[in-house]
Order: sequence, then structure tokens, then C-alpha cells
Amino acid sequence: MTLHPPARPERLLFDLCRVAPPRGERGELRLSGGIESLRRLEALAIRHGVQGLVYSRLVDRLTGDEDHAEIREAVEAGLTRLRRRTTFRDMEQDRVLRGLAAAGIDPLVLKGGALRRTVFSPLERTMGDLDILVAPDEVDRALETLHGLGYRSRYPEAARALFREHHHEEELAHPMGFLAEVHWGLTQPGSQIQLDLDGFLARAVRVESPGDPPTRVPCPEDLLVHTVSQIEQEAARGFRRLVDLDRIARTEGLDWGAVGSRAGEAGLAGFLAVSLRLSNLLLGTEAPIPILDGSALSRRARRAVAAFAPVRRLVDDPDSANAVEFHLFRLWCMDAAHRRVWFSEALKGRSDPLHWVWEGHDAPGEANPMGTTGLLFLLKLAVYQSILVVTKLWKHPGGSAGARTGFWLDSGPVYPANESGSTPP
Amino acid sequence: MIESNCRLRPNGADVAAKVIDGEAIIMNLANGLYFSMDEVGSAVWEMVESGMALDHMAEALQARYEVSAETARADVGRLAEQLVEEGLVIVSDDAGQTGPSPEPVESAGPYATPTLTRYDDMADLLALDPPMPGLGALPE
Repeated sequence: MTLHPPARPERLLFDLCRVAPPRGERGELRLSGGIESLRRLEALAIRHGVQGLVYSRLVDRLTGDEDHAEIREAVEAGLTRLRRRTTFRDMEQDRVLRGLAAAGIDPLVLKGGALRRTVFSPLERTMGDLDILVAPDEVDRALETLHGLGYRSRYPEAARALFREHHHEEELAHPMGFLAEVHWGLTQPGSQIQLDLDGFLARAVRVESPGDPPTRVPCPEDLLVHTVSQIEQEAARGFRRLVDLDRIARTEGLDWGAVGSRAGEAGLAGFLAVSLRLSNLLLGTEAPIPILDGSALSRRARRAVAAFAPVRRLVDDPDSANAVEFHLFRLWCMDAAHRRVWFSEALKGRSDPLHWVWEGHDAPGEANPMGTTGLLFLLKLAVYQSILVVTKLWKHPGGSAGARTGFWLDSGPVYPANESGSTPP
Repeated sequence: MIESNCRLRPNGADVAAKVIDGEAIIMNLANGLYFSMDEVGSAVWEMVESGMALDHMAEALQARYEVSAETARADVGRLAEQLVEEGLVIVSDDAGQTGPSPEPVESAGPYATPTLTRYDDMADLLALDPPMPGLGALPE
């Protein structure tokens, strides 16, 4: 069977990242645009951080005809580079974990390092750095061990102190190019979102695979909630995290009750709903209806979230993102109590103490604080929100701004019922 | 110059290696340097791990690929020198033991000179795994 490429390369990307392609599209794949279409898809996959998954799928599904010889060759070459990179990373992760074990530290591996040893094959899930979580009393020993392995802090002392105080983490780099982050907290101390560090450590599980040292990772429910916390930090603009979410959600025996209650306690119930609905629409993720329907959010918040067109903003070029849109989207996904706290903090005009690091400066005096707090910023949020409402009214003149949510379950069936190949919104 | 009847062995706890899909990835844990070897090189690495003598390795390559005995011997000798130089293998001190003999194998296709690629800086390679967009980098 031949699948013609969809009009938008994003659709092909989403299809390739599904566990099972939509019904009727399970056969060989034909890229009609030749090598150029592969390069476009490749660039998109890299931008969304899913190149491993895309290469693996392409090599399985590309047609064997002569027209595709060049593309197949390019995919296989890409896969070889990826395999080499993945093996380097795995060996480095093992080296670090063995070093820490020798120092009597048994860290929890988070994010990509954990996902590639639990729900993905290493080749499918690329990772940018190694994230490890240690107990607060192990931090100094862990850092000393990493220094012994050749890692050095990525930032000057002034920034390190701020990272330690405000992020409970230290970022390190190895001269060879490897990056590692040592965390002793799962969320920023002052954040609206708070994950239970002691619970994460107590519920951690150990995974073993041939040739690799045993790795301690969060239990599947915690892995899912932590992934949602990452999606919250990125304001649901990263497709890779949705793929992570999809694969974790498919873990056999996953306790959805625990997921819901831990997400609620962390202040992530709204984001859990938004993330899973996005993943449901794009990847066919199945989750309980009371989560997918967004009932954790108020009707007003549900309408507001839908007005952002969450699928479209995920597809849009990340360079088009701006701080106002970013914060406003996060705000609508928060519960009312957290939103009030956020507003009160923003009114006080507190700026991010690490703003100068984000802006690429070497010292705090070299930059002005980013204007993401204070009255002016709140005014910008209000203006942006008004534009969203007016745009919505313009598109749906017959009803109120939120009469049709366009995103939640009442706008269409959950994905499995949609599997006949219809386009996700 | 390493004698052709010598055997090599991986340099103990200082070296970690994996052979995946015809490519050997080797790491020198002592200095943190990474290396890779292509298909023929990875075959040689597996022979090193099995404790085969250099002349038997050359015979095995000759049996597996379309390559002359002279070229195979020269390539194995040169690769062995490089591996020793990088501290990835050491010459086994059990003189007189030549290790296992090459077993008959099916032809593995065209021969390419085995090369050991050393990675001093992998920043460019690793940068292909980009971090996700974060809060800090956004314009107002």
C-alpha cells in the first residue's frame, strides 16, 4: 500500500510518531518530493526533537523502489549517525552512573535518560543532556564525583549560586560536549507547581537491560506527572514531550487515579488535561474521559485554552513564540488558586533573578531584567487576551467567544474514534 | 611494530566498547575519549575481544572479504598500532599463545580499509539533539 504525503509535513511527522499509523496508512511510505522532502521532514523532526523516532520509522516504511534509493540511503546514513550518537550518550550515562555508584550515590535518572530505558528504545528517544536527581544531602558528593569525571560548571559562580537557590540544580558540561544536570528538587522552590521530591524518591523503580547498569527511574505515574511538569514549563509548545506522554500513558497497569491525584496536588491538573488532549488528538493517546474532557479547568478556562488553538501553536515555528502568549497560556491552564498567587507575585514586579543568564550575559549588571512581571506586563497580557477574544468572535460571529471550544471533547471525538484517517484539527 | 603472532586484549577496566549494527564504539574511560570503527574495524575489534592473534585476524579478514593477504596483514598491523597508541588495547603477554583460529564465515561484501576515528570534541555531533525551547529565551 502506498501512502501519499499529506499536504503539511507536520501531519506526516505526527503520523510517523504514532505507535500505530492511522487505519489505511499502515503500508509503505512514498515521499513524492524526493530528497528535498526528506530534508524538510528531517529539519522538522530535529526541531521537534523526534528525529530518532522518525528515522527509525522511515527506514521501516520507505518503499523499496528505485525512486527511493537515494532517500533510503540518506535515511540509513542518518540512522548510522544517530546510532553512533546514541551509543556515545549511553556509554557516557553508564560512566557517570558507575562513577556515582562508586561514590555511594544511587541517583534517579529523569527525563530522556529514564524514558529511553523504559518506554522507548534508545535510538528512538534522543536526549540533550543527562538529568539526575539526588537527595539534598548528596549534592556536594555528586558534584565532586562529576568533577572527577571531567565535568565543569557551565556558568560563572554568580549564576551557579542563583541556580542552586532558585532552581535547585547545577548544570555541568564535559569538554567532549556532554551535558549533565544535577537536580535536588523537581520544581523551582518559588514555582506555582510543586512536585513531591520525597515521594518521587520513595516510589522510584529500578530498570535493568542487558549490557547496561541498573538504572533508577521514577515510577510510571511519577514519570508521567514529571513529563507534564516539563510541558507546563514549555507552555505545551514541545511535540517531543507529547510523544513521551503518549508512550508513558501506554504503560500496562498505569494507575490513572494516582496520576490524577498527584497532578492535582502538584497544581498540574489543568496541564495534565491539556497535554493529554493534545497527545490524544495528535497521537491517539487513550486516557480516562474525566481527564481528557478538561473538567479540571473551569468552563471559562477551557474556552480560553481552546482560543489559543493549542494544536496550531504546537505546529507553529517556536521562534514565533513570545513571552506574553507563553505566560497567558500557562495562566489559563493553572487552577484558580495558583493563578491568583501568580498575579499577586507578578504585581509585586519580581523579575527572574536568572534573566541575565537567559539573555546570554556573563554578569547580572550587563542586562536589564526581562519585563515579564509588573503592571505593564499584566497590561500586555490583558491586551493579548482581548485580541484572542475579538479574533474568536470574528471567526464565530453567531455565538459567544467560547461557544465552540474547538479543542475539547465537545468539539469532536477522541482520537481512536477518529482513526479513519481524518485530519487532526 | 607489533609482531604478527601477538595477541591483543582490551585495556581492562579503562575501556568500554559496544558493537552495534556493524560499528564498534569504544571509549577510553581513563581520558574520556570516544572512538568508532567501521564494519571491517568492528570485525577486528570482535577478534581482539576473542583473543585472536594478529596473523589469524588477517586470515579471517581475507576469508570474509575480497582482500589480498598482504593488504589484510598490513591493515591489521596498522590498526593494532593505533589501538595500542590510544590505550584501547594492550599486547597480551602470554607469548606463544595464538588464541582461536579463524572460523569459516560467509563473505561479508566489499572490503574497506579499517579505520579508527577519534572524537576529541563531540559538541557538534551532540548538538543535533537540541534542547526544547525554554522559558528563558523568549522575546517579550
